[in-house]
Amino acid sequence: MQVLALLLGMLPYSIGLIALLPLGFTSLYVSYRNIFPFKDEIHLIKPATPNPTA
Amino acid sequence: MTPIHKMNAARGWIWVKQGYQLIMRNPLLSISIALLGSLAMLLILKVAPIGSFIAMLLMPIVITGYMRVCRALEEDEAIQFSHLLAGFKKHPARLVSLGGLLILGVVISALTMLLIGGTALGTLLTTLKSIPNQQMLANAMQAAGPGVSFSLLAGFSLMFVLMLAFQYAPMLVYFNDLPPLAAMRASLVGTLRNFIPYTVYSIIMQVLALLLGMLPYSIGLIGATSSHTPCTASSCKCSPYYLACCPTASA
Repeated sequence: MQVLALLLGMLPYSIGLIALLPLGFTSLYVSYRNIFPFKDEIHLIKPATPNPTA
Repeated sequence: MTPIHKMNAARGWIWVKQGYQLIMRNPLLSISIALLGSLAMLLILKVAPIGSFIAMLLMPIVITGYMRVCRALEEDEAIQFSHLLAGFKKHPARLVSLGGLLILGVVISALTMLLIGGTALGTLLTTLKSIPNQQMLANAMQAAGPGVSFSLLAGFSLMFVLMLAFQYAPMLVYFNDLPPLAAMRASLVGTLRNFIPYTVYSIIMQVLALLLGMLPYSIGLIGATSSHTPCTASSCKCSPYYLACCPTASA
């Protein structure tokens, strides 16, 4: 990993920005996974039930 | 109807952090596949005169392909370059329709801008290339009158809404089997419901872009600082990221 980072670091003229492109995509995917559940996950969500002891 | 969760502001930072952790599961392939997809789009753009239309039509398919790569990273599947073509195998017509809706949205935004701005905007746009610096551009816009400013504001506002409606739509079509219009609506509602974490996320990404642009010779070292960080996201079959953030969900 350090080798990859070093190689990226050696590239001139702001070419390190290529690191931002996949980061933009992967973080978009993570946000999507947080906001929208997959179809097969919907049944895993239990409806909120009132606490009987409250 | 797909359920839409509301997140807190801190989630904006977590999205970036977990996105980084996702890349670090297979950095070489995740970066090279992203570059390959972008290169393909750039090549399509070069096809005159319809390159930009084809690129916009195919954009949802390319985005879906990379999201399929992300899913493979999440579930510790072997990543293949063919994942980039996943959008051609499942719901290709819906994804291309999404691209068509994107083109339609851009055309409507541009027409709105031109209708409000009128000839003053037309004149400004034709002289745009000959304006050498930003100060002169600002002066030219001021001289063109308030109608031009309002037309630009209206056009960019419509474009902004279109981008919000589009950003999650390819994933919703591919993973959640939604039709294009329903996917765009869900994407818009999801983004607006999470406007605060999304703003935090956008600010972080802009700061990162600024830093990456400013530090050309040592940028790779950013990757080195946390390359030993273990990925905290579980790779269990049932919704790793989703379960981690949703207190009402259980396996």
